[in-house]
Amino acid sequence: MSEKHIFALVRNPARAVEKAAPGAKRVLAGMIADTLALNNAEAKAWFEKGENYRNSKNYTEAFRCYLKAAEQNHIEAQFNVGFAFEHGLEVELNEVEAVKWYRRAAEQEDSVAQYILGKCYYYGTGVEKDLGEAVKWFHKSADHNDNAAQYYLGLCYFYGYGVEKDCVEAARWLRKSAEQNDADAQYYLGYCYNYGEGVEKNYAEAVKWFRKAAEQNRAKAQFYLGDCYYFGRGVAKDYAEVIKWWFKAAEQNYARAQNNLGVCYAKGHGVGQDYTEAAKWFFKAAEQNDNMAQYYLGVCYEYGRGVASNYTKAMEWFHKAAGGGNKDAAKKLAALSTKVSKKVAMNGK
Amino acid sequence: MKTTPIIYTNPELEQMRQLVARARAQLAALETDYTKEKSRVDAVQAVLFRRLREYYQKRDQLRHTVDYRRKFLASLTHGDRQEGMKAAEDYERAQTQTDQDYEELAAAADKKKNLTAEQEAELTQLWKKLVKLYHPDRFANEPDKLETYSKLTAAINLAKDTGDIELLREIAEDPHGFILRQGWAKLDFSDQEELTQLRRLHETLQKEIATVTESLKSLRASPDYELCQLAEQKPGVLDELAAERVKQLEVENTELELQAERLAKEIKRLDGNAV
Repeated sequence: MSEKHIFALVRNPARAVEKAAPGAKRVLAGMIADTLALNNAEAKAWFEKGENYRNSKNYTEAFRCYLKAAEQNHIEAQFNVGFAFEHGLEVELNEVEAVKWYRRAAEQEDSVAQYILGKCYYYGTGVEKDLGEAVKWFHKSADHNDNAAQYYLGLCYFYGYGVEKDCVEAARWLRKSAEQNDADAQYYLGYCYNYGEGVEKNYAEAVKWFRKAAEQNRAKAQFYLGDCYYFGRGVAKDYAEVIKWWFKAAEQNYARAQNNLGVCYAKGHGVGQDYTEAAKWFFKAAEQNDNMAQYYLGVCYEYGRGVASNYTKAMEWFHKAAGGGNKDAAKKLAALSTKVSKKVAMNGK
Repeated sequence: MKTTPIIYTNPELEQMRQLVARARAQLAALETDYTKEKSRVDAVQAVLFRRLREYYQKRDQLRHTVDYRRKFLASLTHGDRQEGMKAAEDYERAQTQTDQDYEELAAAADKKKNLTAEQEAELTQLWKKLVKLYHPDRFANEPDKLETYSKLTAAINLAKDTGDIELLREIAEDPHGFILRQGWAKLDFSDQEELTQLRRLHETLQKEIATVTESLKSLRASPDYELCQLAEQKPGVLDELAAERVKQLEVENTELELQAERLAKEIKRLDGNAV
């Protein structure tokens, strides 16, 4: 016998009676199996009772039964109890309790519970924020092919949250999730292709994934898809498509799309030139602190495009844009101030 | 101009020492987890065994009796005396084996004590010392030392599996003294200084880490562990389940007794002398 095997030989996991006669081992294993079977039968009975109560809309009783089943290790019941505590259904909302029950289900390899537990660690709800733990649970769930967990895991690798930044690994997980039609993952995978992060830059692929996410109404993806059409990146230039996608994103209050849509109206790209519409979209984006939109809105007020000319308002918007680092706005602000003060001085004469 | 100081340390050797130290720390942490969890699992089993032993043993004995009487009855109807004698022998053997099995389990359960919180905390320190004794291929070419090493690791593993923390402490605090008291050949556990030796040690440590990880994984996947978790998470559940199980076994045993009696009567009717 090689000495290397000594530890392994004597170790042998599980029972204290491992080295005892196989008969004794069988006796003990039988006892444990019987006891667990009894427990599982009881747990299952409580769970089914809970299901019946739930079906007849008696949620208070349902929760009581689920709790009994959960205490006896019933995975689905543990998940339900965790959910009830998380959302304060039939019981006072208690995030710590929610985490406790999700953890028990997660430890029994329930992939959804693993994903939710990961999110609790990710955001620090009901448990101290710990990105390393979040990654650990996302990983377990992702290995069970949970698309939401795969998306979060991809995100963690992408930004280096709780794990060393690794865009290749990020793209690998995002793809798994994206292929299961997870819109958020599709958007990020598109982003990876668009900028060559973790994959070789490929605009056609970027368009493909942006489109999938955009069709599921993800504003950012709609914005990027419009962008691709605008510049003819990975797809033929097509202003009608640009307007279509930016409009969808803008309607979801995505500031960058609102600003760009304003530009389309101002320049007459894909739509008839319409300063009133342009100013309207600039205003929406400017209110969300979009730097460019604030500048353009200032220009609208300065020259009276789509709005009545108003130097005070123009200066107000230039001021805001300049504060956000927009140099053009700073120049405009200086020029307009001089102009106004001259005018005031002349009027004074 | 300053002169460059002479560096006496070999950076590669230093790095390997660090790697060995890191592997040891990891192994110690894993061994600690394993000992703790194994000990808890066994303690729960011991409780369950003590609660149920009587009923299970009786059931197994009754099953043997019923089985034997059936076979004996068959031998009577066949008119085959030899068949009847063989059944009696088998019965004798089965009963003895069953009694032995339960005795063994009872002895193991009696030895099993719950580790106290202090003992669990102490384990971390103990394993830090114990993993330093791990030098598998150090004594490969010296048969008497290899024998000592095998016995020592076997003692450590047995102590670990039975949760015998006193023995673990005895070995960890003074391995040389322990070996001396056993009358075994002396061993030198200091780390060898050569790079290749350290490298080999590091490799075997890595393998050992993989083995313990695997053990821990299969422990956690076992029904034994499931029972332990159940017992720890819901106090009283083990008592409830055992009581319920006792009730079931009492019913089962009564039925078996009736069956055994019926068979005895049948045998008596066919052969007044038997049983």
